[in-house]
Amino acid sequence: MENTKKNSVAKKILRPELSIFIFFIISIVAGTLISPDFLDLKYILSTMPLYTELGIIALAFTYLMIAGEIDLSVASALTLVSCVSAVLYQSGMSMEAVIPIGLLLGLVLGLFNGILVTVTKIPSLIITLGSMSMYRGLAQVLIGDGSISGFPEWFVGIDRMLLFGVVPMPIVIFVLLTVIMEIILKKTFFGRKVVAVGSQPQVAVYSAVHVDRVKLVLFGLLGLSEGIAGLMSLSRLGLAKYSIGVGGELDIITMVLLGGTAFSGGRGSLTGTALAFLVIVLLKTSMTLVNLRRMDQLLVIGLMLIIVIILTDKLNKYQDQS
Amino acid sequence: MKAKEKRLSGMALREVGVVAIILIIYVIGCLIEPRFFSFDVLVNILLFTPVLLLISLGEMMEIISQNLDVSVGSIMGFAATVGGAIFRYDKSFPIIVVFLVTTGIGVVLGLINGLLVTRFKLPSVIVTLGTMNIYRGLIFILMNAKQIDNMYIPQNLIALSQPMKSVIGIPYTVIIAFAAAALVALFLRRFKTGREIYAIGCNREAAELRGINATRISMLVFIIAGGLSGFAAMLFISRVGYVNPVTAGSGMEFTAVAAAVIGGTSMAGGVGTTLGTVLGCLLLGVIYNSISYIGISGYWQDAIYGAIIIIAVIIEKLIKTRLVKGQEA
Amino acid sequence: MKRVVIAFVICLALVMSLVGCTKAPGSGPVESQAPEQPSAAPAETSAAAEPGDAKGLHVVYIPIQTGNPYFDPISQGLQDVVEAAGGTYEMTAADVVDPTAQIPLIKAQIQKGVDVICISPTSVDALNDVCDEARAAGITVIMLNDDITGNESHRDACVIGTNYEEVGYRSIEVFKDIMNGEGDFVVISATTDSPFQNRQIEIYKEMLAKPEYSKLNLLEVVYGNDEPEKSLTEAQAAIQKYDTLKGLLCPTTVAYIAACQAVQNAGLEGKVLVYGTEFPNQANEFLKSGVSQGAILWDTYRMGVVAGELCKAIVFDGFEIKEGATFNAGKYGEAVISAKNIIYGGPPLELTADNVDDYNF
Repeated sequence: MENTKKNSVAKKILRPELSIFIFFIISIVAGTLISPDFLDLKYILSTMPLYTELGIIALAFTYLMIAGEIDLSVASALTLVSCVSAVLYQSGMSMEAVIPIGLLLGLVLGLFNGILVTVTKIPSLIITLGSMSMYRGLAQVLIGDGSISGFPEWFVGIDRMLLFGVVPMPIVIFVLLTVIMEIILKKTFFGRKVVAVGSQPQVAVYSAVHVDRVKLVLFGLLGLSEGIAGLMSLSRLGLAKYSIGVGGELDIITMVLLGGTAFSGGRGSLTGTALAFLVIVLLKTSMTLVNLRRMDQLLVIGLMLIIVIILTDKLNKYQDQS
Repeated sequence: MKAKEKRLSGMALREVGVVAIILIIYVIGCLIEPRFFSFDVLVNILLFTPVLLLISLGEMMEIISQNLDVSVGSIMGFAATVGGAIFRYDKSFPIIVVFLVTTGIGVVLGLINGLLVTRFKLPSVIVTLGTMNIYRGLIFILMNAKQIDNMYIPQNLIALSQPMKSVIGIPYTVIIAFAAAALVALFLRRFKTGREIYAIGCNREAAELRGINATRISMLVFIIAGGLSGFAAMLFISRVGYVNPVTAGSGMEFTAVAAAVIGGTSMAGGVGTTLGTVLGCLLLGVIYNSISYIGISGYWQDAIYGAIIIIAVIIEKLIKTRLVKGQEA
Repeated sequence: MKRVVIAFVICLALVMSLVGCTKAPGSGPVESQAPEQPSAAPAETSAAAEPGDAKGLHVVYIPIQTGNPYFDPISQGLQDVVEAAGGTYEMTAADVVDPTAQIPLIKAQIQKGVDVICISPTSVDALNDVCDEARAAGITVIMLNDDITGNESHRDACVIGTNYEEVGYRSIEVFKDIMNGEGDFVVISATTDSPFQNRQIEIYKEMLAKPEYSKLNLLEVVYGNDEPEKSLTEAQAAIQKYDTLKGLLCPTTVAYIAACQAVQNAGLEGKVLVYGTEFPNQANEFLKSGVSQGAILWDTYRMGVVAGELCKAIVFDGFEIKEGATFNAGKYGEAVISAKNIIYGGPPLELTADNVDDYNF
């Protein structure tokens, strides 16, 4: 009796997310040690909104990766939504109307990829490699060289909107989304379908899981998150430019993988992604504070990736054994 | 006997689709811009391939054996920086020796990848995502690398990429790359180890039951891929004419994977041919070049490039499906 | 579900408790307050002098991008001056040319409480807010190499390599001479939205409209995106597309070298002429072998030194930046502040096969 009790407590704690949680703590400690200017909650909170847009996309991306697909066009889609919204506003549409259109556009961009992948059965890596160029290119055509700014007061500065006077709104949104999406993944039928599609697609089909439909929904969800992120980015910066966010897809993939989601699908957690997001933000903040050379920063992130994945792997095996 | 025939035609069909789409794009390009149809243009398209081809071949073998390596760009960058540094130190250093050095560095870095993946049994994607960053960071820590300017690069290295300096009008780098591809094809088809790579890709457990040491083979693939990237570094320097340690090879991993997959390598493993990868590289080369030649304004180029890739792979898939259906009928 | 909530609450609690134990930021031994640090700064940003830096000359430079060799001499110039004066110098940059990537870097410097921030801005307007934040914290903000045109009120001064307008006019003039006043040519630029290149091209077109340029014919402006492969492809395409092509004009270093290579590969030295902006070491071989007939640039090291001297003047001498004022620019003599608080580092540098060996950068 006692043994099983101990085992189940151990099992609850020794989850794969533990490794990234450990790193979360380590990164806080490391940050403090590196720089006396680090442990300023207001400062940390003020740097988070910059990455929160990517973080929100990373949450939806986790779902997609669990289902065994990938989307490289995420950062480009974010920029396209931002630019299209800006252009629409500039041509006279009211911001209230632009917002839902921006969200809709995100959805469309995600579904575009989803439809191509599910209909043609071409690997999502290739399709989204193409859409990655295409979306950014379209943003470039639409908005041209310059940038568009001059948005209404109430829209701009979402990162300065503070809950309880302390927490920037983007973080609140991020936390809420994490909790909601984790619940959906772990507790609902849909969540289980997603995992099934990723781990054993053939079996899923036999259990009446419409694999294509699930994937389509996930691409759409990802698109929606790109829409939200695009609008958030527009609000935070107060301007739109086609060259914003280049390389963001790599950051997002790092966040998802770091959080313990398997690249081959079938396994993953939103909490892990959220913790990974926090770790990356904390690390980047502390490294930036000491003006660590970019190359050294890469080294740190690279080493951390490997160590975390070793730990996560061991924890996964432990979970599988019991 | 019959099964073997069917498989042979199956493989050939995959490539036919890619060949078809390459020709279609080229012909359309020529129709829009008649000057596209010339020997010089074909040479330029070929010049796009050497570095990409070698890296893609390594990537192909990785994917076949159910691994994914995104550090190949950084390996190439690292090797190129070392090669460039040697030339900055002594411009008259024999090129052959530097070739060996860069290849050796690639081998070592590939070895590290292999060790991490096989020893710790870790997913290759994440490990190589980590090493991609680590190697790029190491370039600076070990060498405090600054750009190695054009005037330090020996002329005879650059000459390898020049059509005029070649006996048959096709630059030596292209010939070298294609020769390497032929060797890879030979290795994969005729040598036992080569075939074992496919075996562990198709069904790892079954292969191990047959006595194949999957760990050793995986390790070998990482080493080969690293070595190819290191070798490609010299071809890179030859083409570009200088080395910028930050950008050299950056982003190439995605293009390499795309070339391999377009050429028929399956992400699930166990399937892929050298010819397919070569064609994949050529396809990307044709698309890339045609955009500049047919007069698309700078603003539209990215958008059109992405659209063409998507359209190209869709059409290629359609052709393949039609042909396979025709075969089965 | 409970687990998730509990996990998050624990995290939050941990973070808050750790923070609660912290002393107020910026408190360390404060030996001598730097003279120019006003107490107008809000409490939580560290406006106090860097601990241990008695001189109060803590300068940080944020170039456009890491690894771009163009900025190395600028950084070197700044560093030499600042460190010789006993100050602290740091350089940091993002690795993408992305307007939003510089913002967190600037915020970090504000948090650290530096004295001067020098930036090569990636965008003309994206940095306005964060620059205001820095200046409110008592930090001097100086633009280097590129200016935030139209938003000059958000920065204190701007040091640029040379008068870029002059570079533009001089470029097209020299190019006309090289081309003997006539012929077809193509301009290979960087990205479609690079401000420097776009302005240069504007100047070219302005001059091309004049009667003495009537025989020079601009066929097309192509964009190499500052990528070697892309620039090479565009250069090759230009040579291939236009039989009458006589010149390639490249206002960006990546395109210049690509153009030289393309011409060399095609064996058209002397038949297709190449001119543009390029470093001496990159252009060296091409100038000597006759592939290119000239290049133009400015002394980037000098720009860094002048900027460094300006920092010194502001911090130590309380120098007030306004048009017409002059300050001591070390070995380069007196530097004067022009309109809009712009300082020119020096005159344009014209390179030819004869003088290229005199320079090493």
